[in-house]
Amino acid sequence: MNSKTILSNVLRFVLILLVQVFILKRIVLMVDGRPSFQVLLYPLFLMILPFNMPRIALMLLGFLMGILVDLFYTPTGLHAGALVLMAYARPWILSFLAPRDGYNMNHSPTMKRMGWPWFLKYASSLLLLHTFLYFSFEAFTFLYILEILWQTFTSFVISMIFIIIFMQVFNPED
Amino acid sequence: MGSLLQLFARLGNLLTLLFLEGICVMLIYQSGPKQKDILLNSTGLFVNAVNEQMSQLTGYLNLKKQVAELKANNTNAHNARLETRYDNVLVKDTVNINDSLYSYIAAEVISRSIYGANNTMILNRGGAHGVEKGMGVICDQGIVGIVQDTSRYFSKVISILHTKSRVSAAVIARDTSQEKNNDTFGVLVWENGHSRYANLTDIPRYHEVQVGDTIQTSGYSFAFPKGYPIGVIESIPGSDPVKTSMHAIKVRLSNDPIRVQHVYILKMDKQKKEDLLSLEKDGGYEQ
Repeated sequence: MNSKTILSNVLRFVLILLVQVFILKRIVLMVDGRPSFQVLLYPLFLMILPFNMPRIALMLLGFLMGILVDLFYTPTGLHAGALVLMAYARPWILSFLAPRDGYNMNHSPTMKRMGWPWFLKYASSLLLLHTFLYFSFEAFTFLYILEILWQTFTSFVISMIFIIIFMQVFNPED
Repeated sequence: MGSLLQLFARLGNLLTLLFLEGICVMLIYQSGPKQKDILLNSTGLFVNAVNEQMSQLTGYLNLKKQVAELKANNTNAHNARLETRYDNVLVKDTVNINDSLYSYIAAEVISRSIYGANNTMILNRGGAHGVEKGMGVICDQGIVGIVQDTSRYFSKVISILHTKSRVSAAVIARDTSQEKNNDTFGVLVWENGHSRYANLTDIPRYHEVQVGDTIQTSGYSFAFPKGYPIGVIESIPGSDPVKTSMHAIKVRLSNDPIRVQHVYILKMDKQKKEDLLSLEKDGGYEQ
């Protein structure tokens, strides 16, 4: 990982955090009289960290990002809890989706490096996992499993759109 | 020591995961039932200050709507100052009729949990302005919640859209032509559903309630005065699945607690509250 990659990731961290807590937090759509989703962009930061990030670093960065987001949302460990688990699962998803000749470990799993279809598969599996974990943590019980699934679905769709927009606008290489 | 390092090399990822998740679950748990929260402590003050600035900034965006709301509110205030009604008709000779039981503290919502099973909000008034734990919070159209905790300049409100919120509510029969008095009391709860609907429990099934009956605050707690509007009965799906001898009643709330911006905290007159408390302490029913 060279200094350029580090710098761009630091900038991305700050930018995504600010967009999340000051803009996306305010997007609320009433469907059937009830706000029906959360726009969660911040998992994107963790998704496009370089391939060679060790799992521990992923989890610690996920925890940091999650706690900072939590401070601006309801003051709990909801976002952090879900994001750390997502970070833990990232290497599994990566090995599951690995192309035949493996990854170039110095690259990052971005749209530009890996192409559209691969990135969509990759980002959607991680995001689906994250939103499901988030709403499960929020309910803290599976008693409300239907609500959890419904919120997971709507939030997943909307967040995915924002992730694609973000990747289209900045289209980062690493 | 060497074997410890080997162990960490093998299980380090898992241990880190368990450690971080432990912290998160502890945070989630603490902010829930135990009602401790980090927001009102040191870090919270900074974030609150930022949130207040942001709230001021974005407040301009819907200024027009807010002005309309405030106008309506003013009109209401002129028309019906009796919302704080202190029912002393019988004793008007001896008690000053201008006495009010409650006074209002105007406040604004500066931060809120957007939605979920347990909704809370932060108001920009706190202990310095006379807000105390347990006070009721209302808006122009209905009730909003109850103050859970205060810091010097901010207070945290448990919304009525919180699975642990319990508000004493009275059913006022729509059909007043009947001779018998059909008014009865129950508990307003919310079960993580639609944000405009709540449930009314603990109304016995032998009590007749009808769709369209008004729900008001009962006045049986210090939080809310009697007769403040909550909503109307939308439907009566049947009996309570847990307590089968009770009605399950769906209430359409008269306000939109998710979107409320300007609220009032109800401060009960201190002397009268002490008066009431001393009466209850005497234990009128003890033999």
